[in-house]
Amino acid sequence: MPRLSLSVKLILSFVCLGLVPSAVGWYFLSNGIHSIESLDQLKSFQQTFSQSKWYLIGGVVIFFGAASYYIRNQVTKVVGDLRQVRQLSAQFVSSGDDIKQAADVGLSVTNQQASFIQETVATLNEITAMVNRSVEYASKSTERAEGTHRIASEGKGVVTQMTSAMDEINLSNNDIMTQINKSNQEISKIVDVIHEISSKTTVINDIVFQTKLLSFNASVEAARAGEHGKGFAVVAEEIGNLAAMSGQAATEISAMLADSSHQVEAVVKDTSSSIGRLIEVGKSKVESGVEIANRCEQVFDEVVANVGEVTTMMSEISAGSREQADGVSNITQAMTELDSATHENSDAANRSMEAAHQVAQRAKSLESLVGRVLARLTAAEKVGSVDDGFAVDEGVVSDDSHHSPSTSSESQPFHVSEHHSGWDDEGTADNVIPMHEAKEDFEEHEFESKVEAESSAGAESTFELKQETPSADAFDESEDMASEDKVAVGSDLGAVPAESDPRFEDI
Amino acid sequence: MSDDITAVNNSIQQEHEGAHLSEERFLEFSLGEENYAIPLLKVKEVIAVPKTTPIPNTPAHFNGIMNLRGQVISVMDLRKKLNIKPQEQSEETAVIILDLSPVFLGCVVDSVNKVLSIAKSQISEPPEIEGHLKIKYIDGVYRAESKMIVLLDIAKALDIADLEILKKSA
Repeated sequence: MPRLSLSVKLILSFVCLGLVPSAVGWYFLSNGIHSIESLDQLKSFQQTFSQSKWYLIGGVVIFFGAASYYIRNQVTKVVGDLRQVRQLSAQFVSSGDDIKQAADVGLSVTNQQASFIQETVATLNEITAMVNRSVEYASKSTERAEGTHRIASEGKGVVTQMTSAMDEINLSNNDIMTQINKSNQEISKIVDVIHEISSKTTVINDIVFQTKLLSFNASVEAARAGEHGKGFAVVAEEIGNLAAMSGQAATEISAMLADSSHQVEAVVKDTSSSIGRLIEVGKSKVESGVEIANRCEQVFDEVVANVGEVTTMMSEISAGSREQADGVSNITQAMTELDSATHENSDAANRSMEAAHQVAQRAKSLESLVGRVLARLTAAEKVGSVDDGFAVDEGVVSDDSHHSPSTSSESQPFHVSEHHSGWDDEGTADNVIPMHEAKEDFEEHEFESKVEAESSAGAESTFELKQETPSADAFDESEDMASEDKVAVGSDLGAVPAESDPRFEDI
Repeated sequence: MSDDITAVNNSIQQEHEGAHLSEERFLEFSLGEENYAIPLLKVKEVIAVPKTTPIPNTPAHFNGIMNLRGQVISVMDLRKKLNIKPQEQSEETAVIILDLSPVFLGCVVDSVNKVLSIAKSQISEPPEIEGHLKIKYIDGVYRAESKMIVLLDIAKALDIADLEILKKSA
């Protein structure tokens, strides 16, 4: 690493400075040992050893001095990094809070959306029912319209028949009129006959007149005959009387005939006029009836046409209503799918909110951890600045236990593990820690332990940390329990460890 | 019919028995609404209205002349002569041929009714009528059951001019 190149050079120089005398001493010593073949040699070895011992000791001292300097330098750098990490963690905490708020807002919006969608679905169901009713009524109306069309067509046919019947009545009226004219002509013939008879009575009257004249002449002759003609005069007078009677009878007959003739003529006239009037009235009535029937037919034509149009329109309305119903059912289906999608969305929002909570919580945990590590390292640095490097390492362990018992090297891993176990216990109520997150958490703690191990060189604490790190079983359990209590997550936000939690107070 | 014959026979018998009674026969006729009568012996015969030939320059009551079996006879409308309004319709208009010896005269009347046998006791004198008009041609008045019948003397009714015409035509 370029950042450590200078210190590496320094270390290497120290190591070389330490190792060169050590190697020189070690060479002489080993040569001395290998060349021990006699007591003199042993003595020379002892001499050599006593000479090279100081080289060896000086090399070792130089080595450890260089190493402690290197470590302290590293610790200082790590502390600087950790301060940056703590700042990032604080930012991370605030970001986690923002995410949590955004997730809350998202969840509430999603819930509102879900309720709106449910209302929409309910309204769509009502619309579907109404549209179905519309379809039903439209089909019924179509049937009725078809029935009306049929009836109107029948009515039109009936009116046509009526019109033809009126025409027939008109024709029969004309027949009646011609028949009555014929009858009148016949009766006029009878009148002619009566007139003929009357003319015959005129002849009788003439004969009667002539007979009377003859009787008068006979009377005249009888009177001239004087006494001898008296009997004849009586005969003539009686003949005159008979002629007068005949004339009277003829006159009566003539009067009766004239009366009959007048009566017949009056009857014929009355009959002709009254029946003609009746026929005229009937004709006009029939004509008006024909006219009305024609109008009725026209009206029925219009009615039939209109009803036909209505039937067509009703069919179109029915088809349109059916298409509408299909469309509404499609919309309903889509809304149902949208509803389920919104439910899934809501679940996802719940999960994201949970995750946001966890992120926020873990950011806080991370911040606290970084704070603790930083405090510890800061303390070690301070100690290290007073004592030499080796004494600093030891002092970190010992001084931590003196300054704050809760942050001692022995209790810290325990505290961490306790924190974990506390999560496990409380996570059943309010937090879900997925496996990978727990593993990350575990790695974080491992890293922390390694840092501590490096700083304190306490392998035992690392071992304890590994032992007390939550096991996979514990994770499974927490998962199961979390899955049971997922619903309570949103409402149980207060269970997230607050800043006033005693576990955070000691950070 | 037999009853009538019996009645006629009875009448003839009575005529023969009552011949001594002073009765006179008249021929009753109608002019307008009234009935008149003339002595039956003045009548030559009764005929229907013949076809007459008008004669110019004669009075209005002269219809003309007629041919009665070869004899020319003047025809006069008695209604016009006597200023009597004729009946409106009469199918019995006839002509009475009068024997005004030596001439005959046809008189148009509305109708010839019957032959009357009138006793002299039944004839009243004509009434005295005040005025300048002399009614010389009324012989008397026969009182019938309900009405009066005027007995006329036609010859006295005619003027001299009439007689001259008769003579000319004769």
